[in-house]
Amino acid sequence: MKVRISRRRLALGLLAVAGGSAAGVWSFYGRDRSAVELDLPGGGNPFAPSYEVFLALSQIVLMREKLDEEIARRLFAVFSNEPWGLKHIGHAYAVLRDELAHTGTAERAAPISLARLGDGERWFVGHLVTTWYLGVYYHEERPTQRITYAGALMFDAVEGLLPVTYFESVGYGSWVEPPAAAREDGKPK
Amino acid sequence: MEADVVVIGSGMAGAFAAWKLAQRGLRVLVLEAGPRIERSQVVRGFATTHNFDMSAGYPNPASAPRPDWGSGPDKFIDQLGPAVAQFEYLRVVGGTTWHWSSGAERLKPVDMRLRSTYGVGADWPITYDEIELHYLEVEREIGLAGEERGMEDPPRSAPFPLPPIPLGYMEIEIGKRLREIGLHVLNSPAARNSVPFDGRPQCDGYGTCTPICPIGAQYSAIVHVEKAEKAGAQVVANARVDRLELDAGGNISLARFSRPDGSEDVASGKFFVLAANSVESTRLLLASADASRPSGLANSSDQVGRNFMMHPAFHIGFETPYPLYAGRGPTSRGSIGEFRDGPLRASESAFHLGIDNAPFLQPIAAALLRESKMPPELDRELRDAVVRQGAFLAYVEQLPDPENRVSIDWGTRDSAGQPRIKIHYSTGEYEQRGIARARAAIGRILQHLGGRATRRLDEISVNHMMGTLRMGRDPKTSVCDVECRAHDHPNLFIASGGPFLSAGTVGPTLTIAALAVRLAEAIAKQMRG
Repeated sequence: MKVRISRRRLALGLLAVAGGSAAGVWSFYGRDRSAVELDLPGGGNPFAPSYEVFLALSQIVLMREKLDEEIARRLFAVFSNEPWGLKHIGHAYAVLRDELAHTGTAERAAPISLARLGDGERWFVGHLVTTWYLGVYYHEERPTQRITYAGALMFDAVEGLLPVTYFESVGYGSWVEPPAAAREDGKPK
Repeated sequence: MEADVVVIGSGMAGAFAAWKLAQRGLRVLVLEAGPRIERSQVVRGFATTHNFDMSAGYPNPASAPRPDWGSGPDKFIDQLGPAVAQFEYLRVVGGTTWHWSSGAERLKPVDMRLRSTYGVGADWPITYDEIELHYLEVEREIGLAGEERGMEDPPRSAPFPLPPIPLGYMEIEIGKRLREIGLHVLNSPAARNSVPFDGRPQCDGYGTCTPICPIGAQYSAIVHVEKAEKAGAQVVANARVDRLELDAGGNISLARFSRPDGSEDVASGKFFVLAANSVESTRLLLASADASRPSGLANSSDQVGRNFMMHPAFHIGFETPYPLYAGRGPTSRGSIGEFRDGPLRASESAFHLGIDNAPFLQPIAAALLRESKMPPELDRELRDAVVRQGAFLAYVEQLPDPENRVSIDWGTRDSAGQPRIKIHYSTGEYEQRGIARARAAIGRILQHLGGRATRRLDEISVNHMMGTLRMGRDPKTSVCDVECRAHDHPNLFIASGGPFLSAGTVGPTLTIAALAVRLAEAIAKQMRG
């Protein structure tokens, strides 16, 4: 199933669940306002989701079309092994896919929402996003582990503003001025 | 194993002593408790650990364990209280300067004359002028980048060897605003290459000075370990010295050391340089007790381990309504210079107020995730927050107090089988008043900047261990003489922050290295007869 969703619509739904306000969502710094095109696989057995299902779920909740496959496969292995992990992946995806099937084109009015997710799946989505962003897997019943350093999405989020520490440098003396990404936007952010 | 000089420890003090002595043609043997490490190995270590503390990427072998605050309170050192002395050090070839911030400032002359100037603390038995040339030599060797700043800087007999590293946008913006209230943001001297120097590259702005510079643009004592080796010194890694033994004349005759496989060996020499930092050196002296010296070596004064000093420190993160773009380039570049001295020192600590350029990306991201922020709002808020973040790092001078004491517990052992280190530590009213003044100063500064504090991290690690093996002219009240030679054992020299009689308000590393060069000259002179 191919769906085309706008980042704003998805954000509105996610924010509603998170209890936040939609105000200001538009000002996403203009760096990636383009619509996300996702090719969503069938849900299959919600108790035994495939890697493709996990990847699609990640794409939806992270609002990123392109995710590192090696990291995604590592994460799938880790999340699959945690208590209720497969169930959470399968059920969260089934709900969101169904939601997208009804509201998933850019032309349709209703926002994507996580409201139909159960408490467990909602918690799991936050857990998933946290792991992708920090690159570190935390679970009270599992050892903490580093999944990725440079691939942590927090670095992606601040691209152009901060380097990926240890792996990128900014060049001698460049720190005297605002970073190029801020200057290109025409104003200090 | 046998040498003219056996150096125990290969950090800044050991490296400079070994290099200087080997240069003078002496046979030098350096025994280092920990392993050799490769820079790339450490970078990989930090990129693969989930731990965010500054030592996490470095080895912590059972045969040479160290403090570890990465996963909760450290268990290596037995903290007897009432306060916690939070510090870290590395036990690897090259020592703790692998992950220092490269702040390399001199003490002010008045820092060494506290008693006679302000009626508190103690005077050193040597003056600033007596070590000025040693400061200069070390600065030239490490390639110190800096500039004359005024502000009653310590007098210099020559300019800084390298041009200053420029302040960042953040420090410049803060500096502009603070000038309105009479405060000045100063460029901090740093052992970091502002131009290619000594075969090491120019800083390229990785922003990871602490915990490691990925390209070696920042100086680390491994540079002088390797220079000492080129000059003929032998450096033995994984050689943990457990005990020093005396000859009939009261001189140190040998060092007994152990390897990770449990095998043991001895090293003998004409001279011994104890350069294992002020805490580990204290342990070694106390653990070398025998029936004739039950309180340990060099301890006829009962001063070994006493007068332990640190820089009580705290860290205040803040945000401003305008961008600062912190987190790019060196982690420490500037400080506010007005608080290092003044008449208030008669009743309260002076303090260092640094501007921290760490990126804080991870804690900000974690905080937003805890608030259930989701993309794309998460990305937007993250970008907005990271550019408006900054932090102040304050640390205050601490007066020597004989009750602040490092000792050992014969009843419990660490993973290497050595008696466990104990610390009795507190801060007095003098320090507490200094801390209060530092907090108030930061409050005023933030008010003027239009900023607000975002988090406060008390009792952070500032790895400046001093005292414990104090210098003095009187063997009844001090451990070593003005050349850092142990009063009780004429062939034993102490190279670390141990001989310090005051803490000042700057990191001790440059002074430690200057004293190490000075004692090496004394040894070389005596060897020449």
